[in-house]
This record gives sequence, structure tokens and C-alpha cells, in this order.
Amino acid sequence: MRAADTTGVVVAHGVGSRQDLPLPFGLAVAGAAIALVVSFVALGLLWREPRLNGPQAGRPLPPSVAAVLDSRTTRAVLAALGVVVTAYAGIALVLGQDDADNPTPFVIYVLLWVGLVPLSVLFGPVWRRLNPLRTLHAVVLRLAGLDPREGALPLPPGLGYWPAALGLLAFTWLELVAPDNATLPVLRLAVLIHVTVQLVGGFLMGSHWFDRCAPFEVWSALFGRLSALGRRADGRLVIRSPLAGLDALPAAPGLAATVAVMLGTTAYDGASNAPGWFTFVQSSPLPQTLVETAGLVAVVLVVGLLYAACTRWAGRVGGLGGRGMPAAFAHSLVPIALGYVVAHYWSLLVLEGQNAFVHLSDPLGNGSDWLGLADHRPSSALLQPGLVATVQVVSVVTGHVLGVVLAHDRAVRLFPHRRAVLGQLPLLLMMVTYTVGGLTLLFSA
Amino acid sequence: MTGKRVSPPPGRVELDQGERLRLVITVDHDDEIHVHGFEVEKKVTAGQPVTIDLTGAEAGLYEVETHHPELRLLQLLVR
Repeated sequence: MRAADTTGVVVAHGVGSRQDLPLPFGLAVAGAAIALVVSFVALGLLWREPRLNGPQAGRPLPPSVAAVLDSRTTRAVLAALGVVVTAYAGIALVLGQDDADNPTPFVIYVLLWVGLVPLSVLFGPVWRRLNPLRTLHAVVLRLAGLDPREGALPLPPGLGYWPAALGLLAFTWLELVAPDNATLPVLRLAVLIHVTVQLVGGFLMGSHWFDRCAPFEVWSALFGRLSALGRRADGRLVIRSPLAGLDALPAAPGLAATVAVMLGTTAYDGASNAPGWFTFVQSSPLPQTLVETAGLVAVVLVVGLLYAACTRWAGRVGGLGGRGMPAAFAHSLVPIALGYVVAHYWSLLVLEGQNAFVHLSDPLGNGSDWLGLADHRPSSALLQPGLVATVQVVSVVTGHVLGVVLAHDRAVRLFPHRRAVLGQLPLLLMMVTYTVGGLTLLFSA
Repeated sequence: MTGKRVSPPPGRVELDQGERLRLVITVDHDDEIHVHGFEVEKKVTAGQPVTIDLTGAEAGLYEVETHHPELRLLQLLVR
């Protein structure tokens, strides 16, 4: 994120003025080698009959625990928490000073965007419970005596995740490309647009809009599939493996595109840091924002087209034809996307997450210390270069292995027996490309 | 720096912790030089070289940039 100068006074340092060291070459090669070996060993050794039965899998929570978690009180408390935290953060957005100490960019780019990831991986789709816009929509409709689930228009069946894919792309454009994206006027406009789009969508099409079309809910829900806490097809809360949770993710229009956006934008974030790329951008005769926007969209397209081509190819080799294949395998990309996100944003969350709370303690920028954190000096204990590099390689390789296993199980379920192994080769090729590509970016950019 | 052209072209300068580095930067217009992470900010007058002394501290990758226009001059890699 770039800080900017709006008033002639220099607004220094935005979010993330420190970046990670490049991954050591040896670690990058080791990670790539492990990914490669695991992929092909898995192909030869893993089960031949489908093992994952996501929608039915899981051990039910004790009824008393499930009843508490699902109770109206718990839901109301979480919804209220979402509203209160948002309102607190809104103080700085609306009334704060437009300077480097304003917490708003930290709240949006670090706590909301990155912070939702570990919360969701631990507890499931938490933003569904916390989302203040969902709550606002529900409260208004209940007061009017209407059912929040029903809108004036039905959700078009082909819409699927497409609005979320576009929303996530728009958000990452704001985060990675938009000029002055750490300044209040830009952030206010972005929040206004987001709130307007979400409320119009919700009121027009009912609360199901938020399930698949609201970008942060989808971001949280997809990573939340890895949580041990999940909901089975029969509606019961269960403890289940991350593989089962992802296997239970229903295929839907736009799901593959959404995951490609999650993967591609993170990859662009890494690539844009390479001196070669930014030298190209700033020496181009075209406006910088335009070149960067083209770069972001191009990376997402390359990731997405590679995905579509390889899954269709796998479907043809597997004897099913290419149709429907991108949606059928989209769930297997989620752990790979998570690996990328952890590798790229671990240190940002650790360091700037602490700064976020320090700045939140003084939302108006008048020297007050509402949370008693003003004197907190961010600890860099979790930012040691060796530790960061290890986290990066382990997360990318783990994501790859989970992706391979998920794709394998789906392939043996869908493809006829004798074609199942061959049919997976295009998928492995694609995943190895993503993983080696991701490690290369971490090493060189 | 001339217009939008940075010479030598942007690259990475490696620095050990505790090692000192002197940057001498000449810009063809009035601007500010900002060294991220080191929180150094210096005004620079057109054609007048400005000297910035830095000492490698926390490990990381940091950018040196101008603000008008926003251009990245180099990256400092502190090990």
C-alpha cells in the first residue's frame, strides 16, 4: 500500500513499509521438490475408491454444545459484536485525521482482509455471523415484518459466486493498485461503494445474496471450509477434517473464478514487488495505474485460464468431457490459495496487526488512548527471517498437498476406474505449476 | 533521477544488520525522498544532491521512493 500526499504535508508510511526477505534458494527448491514428489507418489499410492464423503462426514458435537452455538442468543451476541466493532472502526473512518496514524487502512487491509483468514480457518465462516451489513438488512426487514431471506427478485441461478469474484478483484485492486489507497477520501469512497452494492443486493435479492455474492463472506466461507468445525448436510454441527469440509463445498457458477481471483491477486502482490516489474511499470509511457491494473487482471486471467484448461483437459482424459470440470475441482484450489495467503501475509498480519490496535487506541488522532495500547511496541518475535521463510514454505507445500489429495479423491469419484490415474495428470501439472510459481515469486520477488 | 527515469535502474542493495550505507541522490525536480522502514524523509531540491545515511537494523526488505511522482528508486535488503 502506498501512502500519499493530499494536502502538501507528506503522509509517510502507509501499511506494510517492511516486506519479507526473499525466500532462500535452498528452501524454495526443497519446497518445490517435496511438492513434486508428493504429487506423483500420491497418484500412485493413494486410495483407488473415493474416501471423502464431505457432506455426510464428521462427528456431531454434543447436543448441548451445538444448541449453545446455534442459539439465538449466540447469534445475536455475534451480530452485535460485528456491529459494535464496525461502529468503533467507523469513528476513525468518518471523524479521524487523514494521516499515517489513522487506523482505517490497517483495519481494512490487515484486520478485515487478512485477519479474517485465521479466524475462518479456526472457526468456520465467521463473517456470516459478524457481517454488519447482513445484520442491518435482517433487522430492517424484521422490523418491517418481512422475512429477510426473501427479496423482491429471485437470485438468478447463473449468478453463483460471480459477484463475489468481481468484489474480491475490486478489493484487491484497491489494496494493490489504487492510487492513494491508504488515504481517508479514497477509503471512504470505497466503503460507501461496498456498503451500497451490498445493501442493494441484499434488499433486492434477499439474504441469500450475502451467502455467495458478498466478497468478505465468501472469502471467510471458503477458507472456513478448512475449519474443524463444520455443518453437515443434515444441518448438524460437526467436527470434521479440513478435507471433508472442502469436499462438501457445492460446485456453483463462478466458484472457480472466485478461487482464481484469490490465488491470482495474491500472486500479483508478490510479483509486483520485483524490481523488474516496478521498473517496467514506472518507465512505461502509459499511466502507472493502468499498467498495474492490466498486470493484476493478467495474472488472475493466467491463473484462471490455466485452471480452466487443465481441469477441462483432465475431464476429457478421464472420459467425462470438459464441461463442468472447472466447478467440480474448484474446492481443491482453496488450500493452495490459503498457502499463498499465509506465505504472503503472515508477517503483514503479525506486524501491522499489532500496529492496527495501537492506532485504534487513538481513532481521532488527538492523543487519546482509549484501549490503553498507545505505548505498545510491536513485537517482532514472529518475524525472524528464518521463521518467516519456514512458515512460507510449509504453508505453500501443505496447501499443495491438501489440494492434490482433494483433487485425487474427486477424480476417483468422477472418472471411470481405468482412466482415473491418467485423468489426474493435467491436474497435477497445474498444481505443480501453481506451487513452483508461488515459490519462485517468494524467492525472486 | 531525470523525469521518470531512475539511473542506475532500480535494484536491490544488500545490507547486513549494523552495516552503514550512504545514498547520494540527485533529482531533476523538487521532491521528497522516503526510505520506508527507516522512517527517513528528506526534501530534495532540483539538481542538488542529497545525502542519506542509513544503518541496517531490523531484517526485511524496504523501499526507497520519491513522492512527486511516486517512483521507487531502489530496495534495501537488510539481512
